Amino acid sequence: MTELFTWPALVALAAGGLYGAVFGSVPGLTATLAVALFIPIAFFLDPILALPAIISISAVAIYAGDVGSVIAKIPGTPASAAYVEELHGLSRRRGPGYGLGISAMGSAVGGIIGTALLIFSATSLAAVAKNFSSFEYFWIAVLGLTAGIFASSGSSLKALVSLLIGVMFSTAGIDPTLGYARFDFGNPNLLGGLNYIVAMIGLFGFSEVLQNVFARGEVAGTMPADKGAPLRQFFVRPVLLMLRNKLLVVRSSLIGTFVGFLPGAGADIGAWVASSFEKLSGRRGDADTEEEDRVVLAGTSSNNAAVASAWIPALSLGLPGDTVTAIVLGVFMMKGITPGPMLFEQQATLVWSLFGAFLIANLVLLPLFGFLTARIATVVVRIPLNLLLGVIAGLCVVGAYAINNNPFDVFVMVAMGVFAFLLRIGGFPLAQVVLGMVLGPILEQNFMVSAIKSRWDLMAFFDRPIAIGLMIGTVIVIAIGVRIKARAARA
Amino acid sequence: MKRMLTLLAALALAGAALAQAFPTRPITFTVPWSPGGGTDTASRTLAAMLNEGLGVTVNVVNRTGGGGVVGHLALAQAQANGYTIGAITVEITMLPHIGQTDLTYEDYTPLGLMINNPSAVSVRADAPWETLDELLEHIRANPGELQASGTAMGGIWDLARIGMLDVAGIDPDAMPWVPSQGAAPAFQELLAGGVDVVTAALAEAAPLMQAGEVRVLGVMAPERIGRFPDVPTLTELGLEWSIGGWAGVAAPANIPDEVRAVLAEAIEEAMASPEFVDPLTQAGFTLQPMNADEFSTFVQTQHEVNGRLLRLAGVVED
Repeated sequence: MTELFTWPALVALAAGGLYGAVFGSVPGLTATLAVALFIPIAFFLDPILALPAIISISAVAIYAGDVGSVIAKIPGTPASAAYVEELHGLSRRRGPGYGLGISAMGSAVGGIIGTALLIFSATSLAAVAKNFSSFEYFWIAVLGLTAGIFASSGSSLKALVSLLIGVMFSTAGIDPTLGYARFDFGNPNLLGGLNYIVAMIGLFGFSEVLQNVFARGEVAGTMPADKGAPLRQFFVRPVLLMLRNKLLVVRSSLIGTFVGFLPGAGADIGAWVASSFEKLSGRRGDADTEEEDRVVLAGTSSNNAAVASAWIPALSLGLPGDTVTAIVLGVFMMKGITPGPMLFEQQATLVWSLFGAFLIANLVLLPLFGFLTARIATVVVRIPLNLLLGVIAGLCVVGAYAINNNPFDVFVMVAMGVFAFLLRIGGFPLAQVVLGMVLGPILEQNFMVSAIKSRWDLMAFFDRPIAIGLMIGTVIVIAIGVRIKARAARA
Repeated sequence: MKRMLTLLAALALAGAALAQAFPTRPITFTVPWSPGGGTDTASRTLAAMLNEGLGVTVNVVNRTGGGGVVGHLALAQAQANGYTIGAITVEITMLPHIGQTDLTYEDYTPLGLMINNPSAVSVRADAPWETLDELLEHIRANPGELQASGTAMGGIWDLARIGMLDVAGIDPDAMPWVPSQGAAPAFQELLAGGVDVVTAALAEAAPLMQAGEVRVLGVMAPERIGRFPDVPTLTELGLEWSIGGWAGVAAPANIPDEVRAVLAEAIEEAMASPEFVDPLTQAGFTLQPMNADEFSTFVQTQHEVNGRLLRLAGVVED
């Protein structure tokens, strides 16, 4: 690990963190893009510099995705969309410094728990991941969608409608299994489907602008300044909150780790599952004012735990779970490093520097850059709302364009914004639309693959032990959800 | 009058300079696939070399979506003046047959082939087949029992399976295809026991092979791949069959001849430099550098071969 404590390595870590903070904060620039643009540089660097830099880029970028949620209710990354309403709401009540404090502190602890599991049980967890075939992924998607129905503050029926709209949006474009074009209306831009990050920017960001322009007399106004000293708001209060909710933090980090190490699931879905869980198990009556805080804490600790655990299948099986780890494997190949169970013995120095980098990124860089972004956010939210709205609208356009450099996406973003404005009037939740768009393709793809594989013997969905476990989990979620909703209706 | 003459002379000089010295402003390099993938990595490495070779900035822009259609279309529709070049990939010789686009290789000026990653035949490390012959024998004896995966139905790695079985004299239906979202999810299925064989790029199989999770029975290339000297080619095993996922550089059709010459020369030079070859080879890519003329012939052949395979696959009906 001593290689990590040299000036070049520390500078690489810090620079990676700063770069990640910028990419995470701007809607449309994702952690994946940040790492991809770093490849040409990574090729020429010593892996002992390049890999820690990739780690700090991805860890800080996932946290910084929350900055946009706090300032303008635009999640910077899909992993932040799960709890954007709650995070923005509590920042409005108690100040942006506190909101980002929960986010950064929760991320740091989640990241450390994820790293601990990466260090101590990478090989055995990888053995579990190896057992996940399309049947298990299908049930995970079903479980996630079911939890999404009940994890909304309003009516479950409206949540279900939002969810189905999202799933419906996800069917546009070339069908993932057999290659037929669907709902493309002869427009090649639609062949690739609707990008859910573009949709997310429109649904949350642009509709917020519309809401404020058209909702006369009900303008939300500027956000209150933080009460109390910045350090107290950012560090002390969030830490106290975590101490009061120790179990929640540990549980969410474990959920994040578990979802994160499944190749193809990752931080986005980890955050959804953990915060839905909290929304489901929460609701301890009206006296409870900390519900929002807990939902945010659950989501933010799980998505950073997932960032660390996504490395488990990459390091121990050579199987990339997401784009970031695919790039990491590329760097490994280039430098002649062999992934697999032997990696931990043959390349002990390298592996320990990776773990060290994860710890430094979560323990030092996250609080540091988090505090920095929180200070900036505090200044930004003091800008009068009518000025800020123009900037937000501009950022929505730039963000939507930046994803594919395609002007068509800007129109999609605007259309989604208008649509979301209508949904808001009707009281339909927006987060469920994004969830439907994220899980819809996973559901469809894995259903089709499973069906083709088993030659349309649908009983095969109930054959494998883990698949049955996930199915029982779904039934339990429905039971709990229906009971809670019934109780809420009586109260 | 004198001033007028000076102006004219200056204009004439400027015009001459323009005509002589392509390029005079930054060049855009479009990539039809997302950042971080193989085409993107090769393109960015090449663009960095072209910065020096051409003396102007070469900006890489990803235009993703539509299974590559969006990016390929953007390049074909760009102004044919040499200031927009970009990557074209094997899909441009497949998509027109399926009818997903009217674009063909004829909408481009091919400038050079960068990478051509051959397909490998991979099975689980604990699978009973030690050689490709044993695997093919098993398929022949038990048609329909084994299943393969690697990408979407009718994708390049599906064609790899069809071509291999066809050359071996086996009906492609004897080992049906399970579609997947790409090579990585296919390998996940292989490890989980969902499918028995994966035909996908050797570069994708390599980390798993090194980790001891999969066994690679052969590579569909004319010669053994330098970094993997132990993996036999199908040719050595008696099957005349090679196929790969390739990415090359092209400009829109009908660019001026002198511009084509400048670009083709700069690209050929860049692709020969160790700064291009070494990092990409080490990252597991198989380079198959071709100059503009060779690449033109290559895409034409690919268009015909892939059309035939897609008909064999039943994706395209006559």
